[in-house]
Amino acid sequence: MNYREDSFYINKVLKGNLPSFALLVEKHKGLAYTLALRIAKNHEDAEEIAQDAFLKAYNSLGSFKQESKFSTWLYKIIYNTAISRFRKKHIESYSVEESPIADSIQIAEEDGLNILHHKERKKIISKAIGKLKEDEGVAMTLFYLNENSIREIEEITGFTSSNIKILLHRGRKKILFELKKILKDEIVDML
Amino acid sequence: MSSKEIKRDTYIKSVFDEGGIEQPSDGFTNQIIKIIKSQSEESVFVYKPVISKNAWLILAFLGIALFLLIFFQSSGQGQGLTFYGYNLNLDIQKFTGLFKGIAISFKLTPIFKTSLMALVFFIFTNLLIIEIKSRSFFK
Repeated sequence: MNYREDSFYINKVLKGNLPSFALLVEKHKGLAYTLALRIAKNHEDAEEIAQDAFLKAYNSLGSFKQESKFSTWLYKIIYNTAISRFRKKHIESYSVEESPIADSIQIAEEDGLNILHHKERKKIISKAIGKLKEDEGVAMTLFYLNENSIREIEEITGFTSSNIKILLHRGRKKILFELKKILKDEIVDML
Repeated sequence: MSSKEIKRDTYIKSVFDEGGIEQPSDGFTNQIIKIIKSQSEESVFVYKPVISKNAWLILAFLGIALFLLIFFQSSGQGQGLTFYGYNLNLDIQKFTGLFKGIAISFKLTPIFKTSLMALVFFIFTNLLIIEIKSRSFFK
């Protein structure tokens, strides 16, 4: 579906048009959910975080100054919601799932060709990305997937630009390491 | 940026592109809209006091009207008002005695009295109509 500029929907929502907010959600739900997933590391929590964040965005849409990008504002809400929930959860339970990647290593080692199928490749890449730390995952996703600038990532996360550069540097190293670990060097080259 | 770094960056970008954007469950957007709708239904309920502002105004005007009625009946040549044997006449002498020190005297003509009563009646009936209209069971 081809979406229009965010401001088009925002103005309609502010006039009380709820279906326009549904379109805004449809437009941004993918990356919003992906960002939440980078921090929450599981689908149920990520969905709840994204949902909460969209509700917050709806309730405070009137205060959104349309000078900045809606996506930047929304991702900031996502990030803050996810971080506050993650911290809460982290206090409740220290046992963070460490190795969901073990299965795919098995698959890769048993039959390397299988991973060349798109679905499998996607699964392996997702798992490798999942190995990144929360902040690294967010910075890498915003930088590489959403093509946000360092300045925009600063605005979303509240980190300094030097912090973000460090996160990106670590993230790059880690993602290559994880992929190599899963697929072996020669398969990485084929990707 | 060296060519190696550019190559590495391009590769990582392709990894992220291929890893793609994750999608929430199918009913995600509908669920959000459902919650928003339920929120707005809750916020539609507005607290309404048992005795509204209009009702208080009506009561105030009723009080004023009653006072004026008793006042004029008492000050006139009529028999005055009685209610179940109680004499409602005001002792006008006592009342005006309060303002003895003030050198203002006024005499109400019958036309003025009637006009004043008519005005009070007009305001009172209008407020009553507004109040009745504002009640949901009359809508």
